[in-house]
Amino acid sequence: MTSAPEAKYPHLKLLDWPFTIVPRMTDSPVWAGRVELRQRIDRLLRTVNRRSASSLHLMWADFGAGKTHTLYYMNSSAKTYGMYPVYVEWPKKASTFVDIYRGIASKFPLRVLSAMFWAYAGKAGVDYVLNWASEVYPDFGAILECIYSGDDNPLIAEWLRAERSISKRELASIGVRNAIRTSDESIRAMVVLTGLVANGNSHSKLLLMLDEFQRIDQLPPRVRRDINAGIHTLFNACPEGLCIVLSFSFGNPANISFLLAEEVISRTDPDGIQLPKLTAVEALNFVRDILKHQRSQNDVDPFFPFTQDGIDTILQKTGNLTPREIMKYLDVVLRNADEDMEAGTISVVTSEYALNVLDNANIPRDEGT
Amino acid sequence: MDEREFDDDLDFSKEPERIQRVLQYISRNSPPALPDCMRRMRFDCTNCELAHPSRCLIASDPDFASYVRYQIDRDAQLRKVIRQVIREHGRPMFWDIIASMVQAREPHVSRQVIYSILSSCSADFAAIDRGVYGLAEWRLKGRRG
Repeated sequence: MTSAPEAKYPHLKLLDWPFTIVPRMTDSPVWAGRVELRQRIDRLLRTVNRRSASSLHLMWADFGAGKTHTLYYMNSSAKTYGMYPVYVEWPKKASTFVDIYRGIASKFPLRVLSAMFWAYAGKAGVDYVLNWASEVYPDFGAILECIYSGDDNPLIAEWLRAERSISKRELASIGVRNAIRTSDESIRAMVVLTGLVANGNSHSKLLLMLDEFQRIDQLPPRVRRDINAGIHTLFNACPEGLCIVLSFSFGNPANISFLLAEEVISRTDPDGIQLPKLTAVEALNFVRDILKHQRSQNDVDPFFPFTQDGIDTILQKTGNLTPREIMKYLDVVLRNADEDMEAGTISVVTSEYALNVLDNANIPRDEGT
Repeated sequence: MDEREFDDDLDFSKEPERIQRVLQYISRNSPPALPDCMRRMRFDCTNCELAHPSRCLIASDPDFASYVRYQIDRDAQLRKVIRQVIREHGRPMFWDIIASMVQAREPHVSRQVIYSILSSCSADFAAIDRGVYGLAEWRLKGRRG
């Protein structure tokens, strides 16, 4: 029998601190408020999982509107549907599609790759899988032969991650001619990875989530063309078994059309996912759900340690109703109230108390830049 | 007696293009310093430190003055559109994307003009990396400042 978890903040009637500015990647991320959006995400994952055809989806969110958290939620939910989720944040400096590929390949540890290979080989036969991989990308075929022969040389993982430092002699020792250096090579490597994921027994599809894709807007045209070409070539090369989600965060969702090539836009699913700012009612539900998730006992007012007036006041002061901004403001007020409530100076965070704290606080606005 | 000191290199009586460039530079980088002639049709040269009225084409040619005012106004309008595009986007962008977004609203403006404004108007725009421009008011660390 498991005992109930101990409350870290018994005076607040909370198991743990409820407000975090940056989302955490966990196996079961909390979903607060926005029930319709969650249903939409769940439906999208179900639909994607029910058909083998590849799909490409765009997600736009206002600054701090919960894009990364939503992707974490998708990451967790996709596992329950049997997909293999790969979440990659856009690299700070990307000069070719290979830089994106490196982030993706790092999510395929050798033991996972090996398990996928054996799952596919168990279904289709070792020779078939090795021939197929060698046809798509001869060097990847050589890597799979190493895995088949039980070789656990760390160079295999380094080659897969397109690390630059491997010498020709080292490559020859694992039967490979060249490191992954070009966009074309990284796309072919992605095609093999997708095939291994989708054709084995344990996963139905590769769910590739590229977060912060808006960072493409600071790259010169040549690099943008290469990355756009990489996305659409990969999509063309994998008619089945792949679901790509590109997520963007900037002020105007219509601007996506200026960042993506026509070839990519024409392949996107018409039902894009949008995360605008919260409405006042949504914001209130969001706060209630956040507190509920950390509640140590049930017979408590849903907004305790705040009064509902206190929450209303904080939301009004927040102005910009995005999850991140709301968390920031609530966090500041609760940090002040924590000790006061523990000491018994106050019994609940009222509107006046919140106003007093926020008037003296200097909270930076989220400009999103 | 007029004791103002004028820049001897600037002869506003002969070089209309140069006058326009100087005024455009002032308009882009420190608009409050624009001379009175760029603000109204009937202007006063008393406090102008750019050129002596006797040597100024703007003071002597109302048509030219009107033309330059129009160009300065047009430039200011375009800067406003560019600021609006960048503000709506909310983050700095590579200049060619900004140019495409501006051209979607102002189809007759060339990309070169947009680039010229982004790269020379430090009062409004700041380069945070090579070719990447944001709003100066964001005070982002970058190549300028």
